[in-house]
Amino acid sequence: MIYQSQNLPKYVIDDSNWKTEADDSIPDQLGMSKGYIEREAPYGQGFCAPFDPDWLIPEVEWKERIKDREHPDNNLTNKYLREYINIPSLDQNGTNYCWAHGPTCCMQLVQVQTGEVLRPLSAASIAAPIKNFQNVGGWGQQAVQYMAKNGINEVVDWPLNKIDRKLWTPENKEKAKLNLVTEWIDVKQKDFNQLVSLLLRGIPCAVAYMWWRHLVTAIDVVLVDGEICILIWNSWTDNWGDRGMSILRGSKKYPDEGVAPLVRRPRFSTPDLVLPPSVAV
Amino acid sequence: MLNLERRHLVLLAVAGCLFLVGGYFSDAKIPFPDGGDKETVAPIEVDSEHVLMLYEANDAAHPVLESARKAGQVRVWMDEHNVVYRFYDVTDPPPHDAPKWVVDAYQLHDGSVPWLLIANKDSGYTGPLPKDVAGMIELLEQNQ
Repeated sequence: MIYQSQNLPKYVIDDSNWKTEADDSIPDQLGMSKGYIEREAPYGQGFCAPFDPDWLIPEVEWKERIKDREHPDNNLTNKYLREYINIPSLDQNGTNYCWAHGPTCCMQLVQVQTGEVLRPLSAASIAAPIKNFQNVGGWGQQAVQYMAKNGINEVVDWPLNKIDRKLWTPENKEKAKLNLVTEWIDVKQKDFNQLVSLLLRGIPCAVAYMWWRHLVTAIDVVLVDGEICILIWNSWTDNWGDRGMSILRGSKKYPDEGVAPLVRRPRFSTPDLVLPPSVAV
Repeated sequence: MLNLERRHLVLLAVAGCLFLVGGYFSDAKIPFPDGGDKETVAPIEVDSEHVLMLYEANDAAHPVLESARKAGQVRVWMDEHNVVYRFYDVTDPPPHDAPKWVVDAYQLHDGSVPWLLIANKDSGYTGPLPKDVAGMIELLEQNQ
């Protein structure tokens, strides 16, 4: 979207109001102040692709590209895709699993981009096993790496936000492997050029913010009074912000972590769970 | 004289019919400007219009692909005309139990990307993606 002074969006988080969203009383609760985790790539069966320098879109082109994508004849934003297909916001419902909901949100967007019907995925099916079924924080990278190695269950098999070891059955482990991340991209810490370039290419990115101690999904870039800002999709239901979305502006828009699931194995629709040789472990 | 002209007309009509029928069964391909092939028979067996696009991550910003993967004109047109479609990254292996038409379409892929297959009952197209959305819509209409 393109906003001007006389038509500023209602839900913007910037340097003037961010404290209403951030809670300083829980400095370590979400585990995000413990440092950026070291990563190995390739990991599991997935592949951590380096950010290809050719993907960088020069800053001088950003505004024009935003205008092109927003043009009513094009409608090439993820926000419009979400409205077109009517995808509800995720709901972490009081859990500390924002770090798993962000990559899950990315996966679902990538899923509908392939033309498939949306099958809701369960962030708890990755977060709970990673954290030994404790309701604690983590990093988007941990979630994506786990999804590359083990996959993610659908909500029909693992209810949303259900932290229950009994769900971690051999059958569910096999079903999760049908939704693997096969390739993803790391965005360098605070690298706005990389983030904007991904978003202008339509690739959603899970982004973590230390000031917020929270992770959300960056889905588009928007212009607010001439400034390039980030449109985020939170996991706090449609009741938060503008149908679950808001805009990050000023110093608050630079992420401390960014990870973008790029390719995922298409979901199989039959009950046949025999995996192809390339997937079998 | 009049009878002769009528006979010629009948012969011409018969010849025309034979030409059309022969063309129908010949699997003829008409070269397309973008290098693809407009096929006079369906490249795969389907009962309505189906579309598969295969691409690499680098193609993400291709206008036709973007328009199809998001809610652009291409996707909206396909939804309005009940087209069945899928768009996959070529590095992603085809699902082992994907619909038959997807499996059949993958088998026709020549390795090039971004690659497009359109199939309908008796027509189709395989080849590169058109350069722009207008070209893609035209192809879709031709195979409707």
